[in-house]
Amino acid sequence: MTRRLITHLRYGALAMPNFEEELAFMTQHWGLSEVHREGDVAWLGAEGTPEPFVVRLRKGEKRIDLVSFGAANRDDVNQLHDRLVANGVQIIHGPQALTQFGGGYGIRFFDVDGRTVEVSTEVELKGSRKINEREAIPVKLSHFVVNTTNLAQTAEWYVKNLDFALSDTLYSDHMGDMMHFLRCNSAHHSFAIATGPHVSLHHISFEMRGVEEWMRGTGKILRAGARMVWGPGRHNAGDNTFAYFLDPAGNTIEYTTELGTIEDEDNWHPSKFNIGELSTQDQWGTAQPMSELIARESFNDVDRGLFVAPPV
Amino acid sequence: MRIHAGANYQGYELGRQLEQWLKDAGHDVVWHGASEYDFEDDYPLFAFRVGQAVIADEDAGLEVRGLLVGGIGGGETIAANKVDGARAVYGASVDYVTKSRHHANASTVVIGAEYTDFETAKQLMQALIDSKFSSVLDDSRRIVNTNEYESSKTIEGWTITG
Repeated sequence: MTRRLITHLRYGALAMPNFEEELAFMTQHWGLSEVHREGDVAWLGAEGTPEPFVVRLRKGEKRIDLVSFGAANRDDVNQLHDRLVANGVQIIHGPQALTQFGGGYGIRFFDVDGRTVEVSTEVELKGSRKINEREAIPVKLSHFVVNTTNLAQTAEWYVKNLDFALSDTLYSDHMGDMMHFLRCNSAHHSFAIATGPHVSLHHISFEMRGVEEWMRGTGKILRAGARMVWGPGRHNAGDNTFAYFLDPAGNTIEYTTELGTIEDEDNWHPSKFNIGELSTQDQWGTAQPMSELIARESFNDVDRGLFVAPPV
Repeated sequence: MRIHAGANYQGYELGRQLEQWLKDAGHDVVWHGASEYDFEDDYPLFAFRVGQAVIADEDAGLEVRGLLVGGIGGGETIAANKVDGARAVYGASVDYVTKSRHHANASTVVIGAEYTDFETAKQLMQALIDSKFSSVLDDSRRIVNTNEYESSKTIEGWTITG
């Protein structure tokens, strides 16, 4: 079995000017719970996971504050830090006790595009429960996807430095590789990188209990007035269902379920799927084709947080 | 199970009988009709109330059903389905209700008192309570398509024209 220094996706932290509006949407409609609040920063948990929180919101200029991954123990955090230093990665802080809600022990650094990345262990886990049948709230965070202007470079950086492996790729006849799906455990992808006109958030995806809960959640969000920018459908890469919405901050967020797993990595061979073929993006062939309009929705605003550590 | 029920004057007697029968079976019945028989009262208010209450409880993750009783039942079916997200079907037969629940996740049954006796009405309601949604993706997608049309008048982003 592949030995990795990171174990899983932990949380995504975002900043936006309309913090209160975003917080209200996430807690009243999307199904996350506010587990902690300090002024204009809110920590939001998902009921189905013991992670202390899966999303952190902060009032400020729109940006990705950071993406966080878990590590098994302090030795792995320390070992990862040594590797990053040796590879010339710009470190924000070395291994230390983390002072924000949830605590833990970890490091922060910039990836090759300037996003802040955190790797942590020994966080204070919260209580969790099995999501009930018909309960249309997220079980946990599924995956975090970013845009970059240099797909190959960014993907190679995550493979080299954080032990990610390539699961599958989307490509275009005219534009070359468009998106790499990366895994750090048996989930087909926990992180993905897409080609965009600038560095930004592509989307954040949340896992629902099953098909009925995904369907109910999608209906509930439509009734809340959010616009579904793409879906419903079922991706070929990852085999997961999808329904993408625009949240009040203008970020794309997704309800998904039944994301595929890769149990035998030695015998997994990444595929390349042509985005020009409708069945590549949507097995059902019913969701509208991935058009320039939909792609633009995912470009998002330019991330203002590159090579600037977040204040929290 | 939580059951939201209502009836106009034409379905009032049967509706109240069904309400008591459901309570005796242990269900949590919420009555949305008139508190007492009210000659020529109108059905839309009760249909909207039941439709809204069912959707609110569904969104809260509860196991819930709706029951509407009218004279014919056609108007109640039309009115209930004007509520965003509502999925009400007429109680044509036990098989019809069961399959509507299975494929369309029907959550409310409408009974026409002119055509349905108490025993048949009980069977129709029991079918709605007992049967389950298929949870298969094809059925789910069609329901999401309908939800999307209700909120944006599109299906998968496409404007619907003749």
